[in-house]
Amino acid sequence: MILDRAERVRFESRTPAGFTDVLAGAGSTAAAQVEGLLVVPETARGPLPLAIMSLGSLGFTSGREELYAQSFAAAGIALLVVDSLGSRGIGETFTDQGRISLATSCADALYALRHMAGDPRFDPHRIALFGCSRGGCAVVLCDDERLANAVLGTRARFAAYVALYPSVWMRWGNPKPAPGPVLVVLGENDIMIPLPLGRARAGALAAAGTRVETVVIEGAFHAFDTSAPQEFKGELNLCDCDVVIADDGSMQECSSGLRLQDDWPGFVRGISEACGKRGVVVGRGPQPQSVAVAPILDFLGRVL
Amino acid sequence: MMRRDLAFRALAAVRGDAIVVSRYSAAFEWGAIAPSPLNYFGIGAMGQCSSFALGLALALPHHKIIVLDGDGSLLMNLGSLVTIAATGPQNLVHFVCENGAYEVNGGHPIPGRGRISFAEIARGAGYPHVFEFDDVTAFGAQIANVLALPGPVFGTLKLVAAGELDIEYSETGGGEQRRQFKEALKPLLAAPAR
Repeated sequence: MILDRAERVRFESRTPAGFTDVLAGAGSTAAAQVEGLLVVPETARGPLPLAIMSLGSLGFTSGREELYAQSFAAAGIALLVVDSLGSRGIGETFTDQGRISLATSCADALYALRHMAGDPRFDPHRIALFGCSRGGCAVVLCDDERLANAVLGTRARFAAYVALYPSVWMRWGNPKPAPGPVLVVLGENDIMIPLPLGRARAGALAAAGTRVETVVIEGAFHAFDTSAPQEFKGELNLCDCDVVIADDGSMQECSSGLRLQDDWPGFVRGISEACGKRGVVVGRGPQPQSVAVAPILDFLGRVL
Repeated sequence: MMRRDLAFRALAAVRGDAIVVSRYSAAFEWGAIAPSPLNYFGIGAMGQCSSFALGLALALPHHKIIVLDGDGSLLMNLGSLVTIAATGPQNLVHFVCENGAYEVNGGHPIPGRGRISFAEIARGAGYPHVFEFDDVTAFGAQIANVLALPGPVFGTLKLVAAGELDIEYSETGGGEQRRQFKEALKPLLAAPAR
C-alpha cells in the first residue's frame, strides 16, 4: 500500500460553518491543524506537478485514495490526500453530511495549496485540485476567484480542477471561476448525481467562462471507483436539494427557503427533512475500479 | 471559426428527441444533416424562428426546444431576446449562427458585422446562461452540458461562410414537412406533464 509509506504533512486551516467565514479571511474562525498524506513519485526529478485531493464522504474507507496515489505516482504526479475528516476526529460523512461543512473541505483545500505552493519539491504553477463526490463538490466550489482571493490573495492558484461525480446539492449562484480548466467525470446511471444535473452544473461553469471537459463513464453508478462493489444503501440522497451560495457567502436552500445560520449540522438536518430522500447505489462496477484513471491522467498530462 | 456542417453534426449527435426550429441557410443544412419530423423550418418568415420556438417551449414545457437562428434573422427580431428572457422557458436553447452575412440571398454583410456581440445582447436581455463557440472541438465537448442547463440558454456559433447551398424550398418549407411536424407534435401535446 503506497499510502502506508506516505509522508505526513501538517498545515493550518479553519473549520468554518459556511462560506461567509471563508470569505471573511483567516481571522474569522479559529485555526485548525489539518493533516494530509503525501505521496511523492520516487523516480521523478525536479519540481513536480502535484494533485491535492479533497476526501469524499467515505473518507479513507473508499479505497479511491490508494488507487489514485498509485496511478498518479506512476505518472510522475505527487498526491496530497487532505484528511479533512480524520483531522477532526471524523471517520466518514456518508451517513451524516452535518459532521463537517463543505466550506471546511474548501478551506482545507485552499490552505493546503497555500502550504504546498511553498514546498520547493513541487512546481507551484502545476498544482491541481482533485476530489470525488463530496470532495468533487469541494473541487467545483473551490474553483472560485472570491474564495481564492480570500485565502490565497494573489499568491497561488490551482492550475486545474478534477471533479469526479461531484455532489450537486450545493453551488455558487453567481459563479466567478478562477483560472484553470476543469475535468468533470460523471457516472451514466448515478442516482446521487443524475447525469442531466451533473451536466447542467458543468454547463454553468462553462457559461461562466471555465474551460470544462466532461467524461461520462458508461453504465456507472455513484462512486464507481471505490474498492467495494456496487451496493444499494438506504442512506440520504440530497440530489433534489439546491443550496445556493450568494456572493457574500450566505447560503439558502431554494425549495425550502432554509438559510444557514452558523449551525451547519442543524442546516443539514433541515434540508435533509425538506428535500432529502432515502436510497443510493454506490460502488465499483460494471467497469473496473480504475476506469477513470486514463481520462484523468490524460487531462492532467495536458494541463499541468 | 467553425464550419456550420461540423457544428451541426456535433449537435445532431446529442439532439435526442428535441424539437429543432431553424431558418433559411441553417434550415437547409440542418435538414440534410439531421432529418426528423421534429424539425420545424421557419422558411418564409425571416427572423421569426425564435418567436416560433418560444411558443413551442411554452406549450411543451417538458420538451427540449432548440433554435438555430441566423444573425441576419435575429437582427430582424431582436426584441424576441427580451421576450424569451422575460418569459424564462427552462426548456429553450437558442443558438445564433453568426457568419456575418445574409447568406441565403447573396451573402450581403449584416449591419455591424464584426463589431456587434450577440452574446452581450443576449446577456443584457436577461438570458441566464450565455456561450460563444468558435471552435468545433470545444463545442462538441460542451454541447451536451449546454443542452442540460435550465434555460433559456443562448449560444453564438461563430461560423465561416458556407459554400454553395443545396436550396430546395419545397422540402424545407413545403406542406408535407409541415404535416409531418404537426403529426409528430400530437403525441407530445397529448402526453401528460412529466
